[in-house]
Amino acid sequence: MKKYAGIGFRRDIANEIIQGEIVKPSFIELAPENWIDMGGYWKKKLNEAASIYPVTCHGLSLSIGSPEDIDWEFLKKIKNFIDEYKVEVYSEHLSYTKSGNAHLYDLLPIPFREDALNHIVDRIKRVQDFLGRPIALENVSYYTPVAAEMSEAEFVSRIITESGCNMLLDVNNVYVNAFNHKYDAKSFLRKMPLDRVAYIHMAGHLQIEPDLIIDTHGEDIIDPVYDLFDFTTQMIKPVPVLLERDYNFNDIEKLQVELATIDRICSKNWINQHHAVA
Amino acid sequence: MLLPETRHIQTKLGDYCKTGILPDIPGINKKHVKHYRRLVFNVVKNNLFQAFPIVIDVIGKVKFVQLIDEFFSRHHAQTSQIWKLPGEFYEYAKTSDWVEKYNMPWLIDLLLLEWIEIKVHTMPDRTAPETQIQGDLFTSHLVINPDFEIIKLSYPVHLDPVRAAEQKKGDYFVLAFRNRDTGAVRFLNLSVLHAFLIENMVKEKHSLEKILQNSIDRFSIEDITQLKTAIKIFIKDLMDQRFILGFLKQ
Repeated sequence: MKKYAGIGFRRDIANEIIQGEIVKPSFIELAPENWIDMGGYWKKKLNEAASIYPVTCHGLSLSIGSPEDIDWEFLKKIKNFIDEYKVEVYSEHLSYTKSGNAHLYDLLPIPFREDALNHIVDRIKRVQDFLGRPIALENVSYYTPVAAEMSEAEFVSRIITESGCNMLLDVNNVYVNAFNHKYDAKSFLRKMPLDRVAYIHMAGHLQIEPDLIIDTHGEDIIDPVYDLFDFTTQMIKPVPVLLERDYNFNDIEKLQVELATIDRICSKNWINQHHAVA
Repeated sequence: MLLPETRHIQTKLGDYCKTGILPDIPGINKKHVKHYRRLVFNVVKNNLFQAFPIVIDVIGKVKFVQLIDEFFSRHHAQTSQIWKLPGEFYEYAKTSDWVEKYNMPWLIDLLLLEWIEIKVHTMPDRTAPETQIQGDLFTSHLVINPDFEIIKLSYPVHLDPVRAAEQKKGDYFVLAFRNRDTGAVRFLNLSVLHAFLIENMVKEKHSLEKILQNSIDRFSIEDITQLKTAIKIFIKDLMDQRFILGFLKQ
């Protein structure tokens, strides 16, 4: 069976990933912000892992939807990092993390509005020009709309299409948002520019109120999200798929079970298609 | 172009996440928006809890969360890399009134000590010149492990519990360096003379003999033989601990 599923290179499971005995991903994903400028013990571990696995990068601080200016000095460091580690996919979030000249270190929802859309499209183009490569943007989970004047589906779809960037399709986020905002997940997916999907995220979540799910990256993936993933992969070309897990690493073997489940679904749907991951 | 109204809405949501004071934002779900404040604050809180375990042990979690709340609501975090945020917390603490307000004279020193451990543990690798085993302690050029910092404290929080350290105000120097093989950070208490020697060995790149000459003038030392004996023990200890890596390869 071909392998499509990768895993986030987290410090808690760095040694297990490097050993590759229990957890056997086909690639690793890094948040470059957590590794840039870093030396010592963790730099050695990173280099060790990068010598074994292909690397993708999933940024946290680009803040593409921010009212603030783009931090070009920061982006220069990103560019150097993705060059140094021969990164195959550099992705970011369709959200903002900086506001009022302050970093907030989490993903805030952007108002779904025409001016915000144009603002972001322009910024994506400038970032892609600077990096000399396309970026992939993720549909983020959100817990409240903010001054919306159009649907999430229109906002996300038009940004991807009009900017020419790729899409990181987070299937769990589609599930979470469909639940939180009471829409049909499959019809949302059909409205996405699926030919632009270059990368997929899968993750667990936590329902914390009767009408609210939070995208935690700390739980097992539930069956309805696997079902949605199955549905999605039937409509797109083969791409790398990441299992996102940020904490709760008590049972490493279960991570491998999740990777294998993802691989099984991919193989079923992509068996005759070209494999996109080395 | 982003309209002023949209910019204003986005800024208001960001401000809410910093302060927890909810403004009027059109179209939001007031019950669910609170999770943004909670998630943002938890990210910052978890980061600073990990960075300053000794401070938390001394002042307690409740007081520390109070400090974080003030810091995060008033400070504009500038680093895009959250693992560097403890450094901004330390810098903010220096400008705050916390020391007087909470009667914690040692607080800034303790924050610095914990931040320096992170800083040295994570600092970018610096290259050191090639070394050889053979050489003379006083006349050969000693190669120093470049991954280090020397800090000056007003209270010996690296030696004593804070209540005892509080009674011993003075000038204290601490060397923090990273073992080049294991990456572990070690701390060494330094005398003023030791700190002067190390800083000059790095800066001037002279042999110890020459730096000692400068020290004699600077510290008005009379018994040079005794000084040399003491320095020899100190330098050998630094070699054993891999802070001095060896003699410059000829």
